[in-house]
Amino acid sequence: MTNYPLGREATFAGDDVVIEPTARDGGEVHTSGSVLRLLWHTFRENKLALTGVISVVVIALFCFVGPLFYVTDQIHSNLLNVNLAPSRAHLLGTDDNGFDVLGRLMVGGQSSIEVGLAVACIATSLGVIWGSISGFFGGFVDAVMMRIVDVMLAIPVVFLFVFLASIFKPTLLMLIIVLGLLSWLSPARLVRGETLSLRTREYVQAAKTMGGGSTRAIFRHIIPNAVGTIIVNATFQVADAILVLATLSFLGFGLAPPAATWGGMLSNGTNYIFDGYWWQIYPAGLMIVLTVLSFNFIGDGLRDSFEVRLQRR
Amino acid sequence: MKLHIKSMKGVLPGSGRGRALLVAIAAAATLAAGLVIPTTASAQEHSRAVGKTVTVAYSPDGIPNYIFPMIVGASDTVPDLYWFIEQFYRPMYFFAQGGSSGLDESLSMANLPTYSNGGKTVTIKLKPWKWSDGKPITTRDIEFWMNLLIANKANYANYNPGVFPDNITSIKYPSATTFSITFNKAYNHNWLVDNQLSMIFAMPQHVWDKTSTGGSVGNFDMTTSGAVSVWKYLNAQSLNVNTYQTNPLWQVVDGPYHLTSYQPNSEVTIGANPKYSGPVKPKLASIKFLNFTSDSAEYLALLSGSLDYGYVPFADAPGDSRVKSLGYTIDPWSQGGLNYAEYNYTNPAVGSMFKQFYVREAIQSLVDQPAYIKAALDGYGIPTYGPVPAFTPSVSFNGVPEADPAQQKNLYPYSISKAKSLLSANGWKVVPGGVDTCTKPGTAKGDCGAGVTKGQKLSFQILYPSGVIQYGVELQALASSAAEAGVQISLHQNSDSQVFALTALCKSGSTCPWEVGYPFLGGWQYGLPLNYPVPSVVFGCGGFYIGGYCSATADQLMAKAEVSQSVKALYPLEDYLAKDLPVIWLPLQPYNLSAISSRLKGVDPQNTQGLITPEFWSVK
Repeated sequence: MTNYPLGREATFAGDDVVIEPTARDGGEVHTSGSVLRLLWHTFRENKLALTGVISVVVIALFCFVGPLFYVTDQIHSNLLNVNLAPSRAHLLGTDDNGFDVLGRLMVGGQSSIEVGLAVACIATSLGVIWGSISGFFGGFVDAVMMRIVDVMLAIPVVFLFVFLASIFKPTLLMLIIVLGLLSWLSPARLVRGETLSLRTREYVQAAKTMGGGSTRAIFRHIIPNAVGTIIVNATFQVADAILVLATLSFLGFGLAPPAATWGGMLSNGTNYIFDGYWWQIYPAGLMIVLTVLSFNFIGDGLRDSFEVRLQRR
Repeated sequence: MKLHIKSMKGVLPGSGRGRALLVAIAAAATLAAGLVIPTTASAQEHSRAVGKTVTVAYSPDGIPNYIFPMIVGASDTVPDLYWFIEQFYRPMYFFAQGGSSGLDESLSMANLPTYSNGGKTVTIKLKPWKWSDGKPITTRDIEFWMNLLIANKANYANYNPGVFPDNITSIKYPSATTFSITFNKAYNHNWLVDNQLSMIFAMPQHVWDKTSTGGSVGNFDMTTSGAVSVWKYLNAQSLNVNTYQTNPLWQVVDGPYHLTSYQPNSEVTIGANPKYSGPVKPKLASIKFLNFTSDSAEYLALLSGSLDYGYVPFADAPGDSRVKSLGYTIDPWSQGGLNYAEYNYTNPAVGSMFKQFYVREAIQSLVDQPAYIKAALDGYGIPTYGPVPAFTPSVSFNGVPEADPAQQKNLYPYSISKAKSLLSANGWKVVPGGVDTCTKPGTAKGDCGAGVTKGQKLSFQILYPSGVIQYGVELQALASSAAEAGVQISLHQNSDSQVFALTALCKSGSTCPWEVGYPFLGGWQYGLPLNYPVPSVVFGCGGFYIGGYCSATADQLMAKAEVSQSVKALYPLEDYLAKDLPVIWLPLQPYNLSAISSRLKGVDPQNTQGLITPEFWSVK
């Protein structure tokens, strides 16, 4: 058996590695139970992270369920109702096209969340595969793959989008694909770093000794053991994608009207900043801040949860 | 497999909580910064340049990018380009000063022409004006312009095949002050002066007639190949904006000002030309023009009091009392022109649809101009129903108005039901909220029309400039109305110069991918070279600025108006264009809502061609 420094030991049972607590010198070792329970215990102690979760849930309900109850027309302009102040008829007023601002916040949030989640999935998936392959094989393969990452990291994202927007009409799918294809670089580097460390572990060596191929090693041992890094990074990817979408929309390179995005609403609202139409500015900005912060708090919480020293023993 | 748990410290991205805080701070700071209204100091306390210097705002991204008066189309994308050029190089005939739209003989460097040879020959006498280096302006300078124009006409933005200079049979320069041009026919005098002779500029032949920077001045323009070489050289120099300030070519001028400083994408400063020969001498020592990337940036500068002459964006018109409290006068700058979005008739996908009159009629029936004027322009602006809207001041020739009142009425009132019935009567399956499709292709009555295929969708894209709020409001409203008739309009933004370059400058007849274009101020302002409303350069077959619109009837009516001495010969042409809908008529906005500081005098009344004449300006 191999002694692990944190009071556990591993035994091999077939292809599985079983981790069990060992008795320390000086007393019994008490565990908190399953891994997930351990994670949850640590996570819930982080009040900000819990707040983040609740916020995300509330925001998602606001965006996806809200329109079912607060029904507004976000497609057709109504020039008779432009720039109205908040009232009973329009709780957060209207914008310069006569769209209800509250309803637009809901619809705008849908695209923001969809883009955020989709980009995170794409970026994480691509980055994990790229980084794990690069880190596992090392040497020439690693050098080439990481140089590709370095080159792509040098591409200024905003300018690239400005260029693409001048040629193509931005659609939701196009934004997701392009953002996803540019966002996998960071997780790739992270996972590559993890992989460099994990590939030297005894269980990985053992798997190779027993005839397991590289693919098996990567997908059955490396990636699962890097899942903490991956998950935490994914939450930050969501936040980043929402921010980038808001930035592009603010600059006029997001979804074409009448599609609603928070960044587009904020951009449009700032045109009337001197007219005092605060309802066209603050709500959209607040939603961006709240959503991004919430995902960041969740990411922080997950990171702390995976930090073993913070876990209850 | 059960997981091996290990420490994550130092591996995960270090942003985390710290980054979240930064995001919150940055967002709050951005919002707060956006709401920091500059301390509204009085006009006297601001930090504007004192003395006989004023500061003026260009339109957004309006810093001029061309200085050579023989403008190429690709460079004619900046709204305020002539503000720049015509301070240094005045056209031989100057128009629209003092609130009028007509020729101003006093500001022109030539007398009105005299006619002979049955009206085919015009003789023009130059006034004794001089260049800034003291050399007299002579017919040699006019000949220099004409030789370059004839040899390089295809490159000139205002060239239209068949007319100037194609309609010239001979030019003679019997003296240093008099020249004569014989045309191929006897044209309407107003048209001849306003639309043909108005294109003539004097150019300093003694400085510019060369083919390289180190080369000497000669008479290269006297041969076609030489004129081409000279043009190429001057064009190349004009495209090199970084050398404007120091290039000796641009130091010799005949206008009231000369260039003293040019900082690309930033600011331009011009200084008074003490040798200016015109009747009104400049009173200001210098004028600084500032470039802003957006209306908001300009408005912020206006509120801070750092502009003598700026504008209030239409989006901020409701709050213009703030500007007035600073001592500014708000003057809606009426422009004599017409406004429209252009169809691209040569687009292989949608061109055939646009060629069907009933389709254009249906689309025009979806435009509610009074509502757009109220919502998007805050009530400023007038509707465009034809080529000569009811702008003020109106133009008359010998008491006869150039505009037929009939074409100033709305022939196609806003009606979604009308649009639907037009389409369904012509072979389209109308799907409100969806997309109409052609179910009866063919050319018989009730069919979709030539070139429209079965199943073709009534769907097209409108390209318009980002940052122009009023356009966004108008077009979104149009798209909304259109959707109710099953006409699917998608909106696509780009920078204004890009929109202009992709649409108005895409030569008709070639394959241009745009479908409908609406550049900023992309209609037409009556001015060089279209002062008399015979719009051959715009609506003529082969005209430079429209996406392939070609009507034999319109061309015939234009040809008649060009030669008839009666102003009323314009009326059938105006009525035809109003009815035929070559474009989507849209509201004509003022050039801008000018904000003029209390210390600046002589700006009003403003030139209806969107030009500025700062030689009339003075400060308290």
